[in-house]
Amino acid sequence: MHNRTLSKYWLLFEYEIKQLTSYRMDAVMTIVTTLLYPLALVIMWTAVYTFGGYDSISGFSLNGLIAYLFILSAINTLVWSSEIAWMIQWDVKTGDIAMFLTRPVSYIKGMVVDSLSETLFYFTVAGIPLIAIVILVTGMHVTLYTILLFAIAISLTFLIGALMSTILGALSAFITDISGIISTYSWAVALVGGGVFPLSMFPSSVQGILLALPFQFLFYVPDGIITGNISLAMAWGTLALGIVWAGILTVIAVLLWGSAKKRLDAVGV
Amino acid sequence: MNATKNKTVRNLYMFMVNQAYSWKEVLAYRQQFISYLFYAMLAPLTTLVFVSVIYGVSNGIAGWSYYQLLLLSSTGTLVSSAVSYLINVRDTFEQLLRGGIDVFLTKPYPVILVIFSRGTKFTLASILGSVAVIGYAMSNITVTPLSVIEYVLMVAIGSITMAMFILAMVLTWYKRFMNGNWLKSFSDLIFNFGGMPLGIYGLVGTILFTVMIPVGIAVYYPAELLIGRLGSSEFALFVMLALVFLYALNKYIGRQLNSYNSAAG
Repeated sequence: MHNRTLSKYWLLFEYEIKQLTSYRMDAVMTIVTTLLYPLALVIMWTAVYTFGGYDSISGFSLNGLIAYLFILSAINTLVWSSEIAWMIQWDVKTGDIAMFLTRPVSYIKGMVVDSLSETLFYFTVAGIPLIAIVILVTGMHVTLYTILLFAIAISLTFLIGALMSTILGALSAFITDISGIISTYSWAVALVGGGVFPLSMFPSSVQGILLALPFQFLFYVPDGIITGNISLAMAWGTLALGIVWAGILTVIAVLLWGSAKKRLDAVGV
Repeated sequence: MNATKNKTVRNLYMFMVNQAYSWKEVLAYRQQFISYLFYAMLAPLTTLVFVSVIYGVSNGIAGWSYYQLLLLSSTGTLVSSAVSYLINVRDTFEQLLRGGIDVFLTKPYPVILVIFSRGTKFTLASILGSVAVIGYAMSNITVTPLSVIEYVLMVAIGSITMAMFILAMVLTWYKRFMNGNWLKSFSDLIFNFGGMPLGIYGLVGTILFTVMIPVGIAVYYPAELLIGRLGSSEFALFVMLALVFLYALNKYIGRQLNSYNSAAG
């Protein structure tokens, strides 16, 4: 019984990978664009460090900041789970949700598997090689222990991203169109989660608030752990906070999706 | 002469009617519109936060004060938003794939103008937000009325040139590979580079973003004009360069559209 359930999700996983690899050139260019994304920032920060003659800014050496910015690109591939909200909205708007809800596969779990396959594809072909190159080029000290902590952190990145995206998606049962909300969320989360620059560059009062919120687990925490800007001693406490947030978000997502299902009117407009 | 004038008036009328229709469509979903307004406002806000953080933790970039860099980066956001207002990359791709462009080709209007009337409307909020931040930056640096006029003209011509450049990229990629989801990210990437002083990219970068990709003409040089580092002769030179770009892109897009096959057909 358990195996049959697993094989259903495995089929979904395989299907999504086939879809992704069928548009190979698009996948390649998406990867290239993603990898080039931090280049302008890297050049700009290099100019800032050179002009000011700084050894470090907000605890980051120039090499450390370059590593942080490039690894952000790798982590970005994990945060694409925000697609879940878009997919839920689309299915609610078109009425396709009615068809999906009658299938013997959990709709939300199916969405997560779908998103996981895309995430794993891009993270494996673009993210991991990029992280390896950054480690080699910048000479970062990375131990097996750091890799273990990083693996836990990126699992939390995917989980928290997927949960927040599900919560947003569930709102489409209550609000006619949530595309503006999803877009606002995607942009804001990068700013307050360390996806534009490290949170340590914010004034300390703002930093205090941002370090208590779950958004840091999307960018700042995994990046900080692998680049060594979050010390190994602090990492466990930070990850524990992430697990607590994942728990809270799971409860919210389950309650909200349960309530959303009751409200769904699939008219297909 | 009169026929040309009539044609131009008719085209402009079509553009304005399409604008009015698009706005009515957008305003029909008020909740969506309001949430998109918030979203669009985040772009100029992020620019403001970004530049403030740079100058909060360092002395910034050589030769650029806080307000000057704020002006340049906000010009980048302004032009990026104006280009999005004119061309929605994903929608244009959808139209190409589903045969939507075929309908435009049968109408007595320039296809480019029809595509440009279907851009992302809510980015107007981002344009207005950027204008407010630029106004704030301008109030803290010395500008002359002439440089303001030249800046506005160059940003306008530069934005249209950039929109044509993006459209040319979309058509090229569609013809070659029939897909191009990545082009929106590519467009954002260009503006990431364009919103910084070109000098930091060295000579190669400056040439690349001036004569290969016209983002410098739309963003960097207008900001330099406003700050007073470029004069009227440079203004004339860059306007000429923009016109050359526009002519070449118009010819290229026309050729691409003439040999276009819709996937739906």
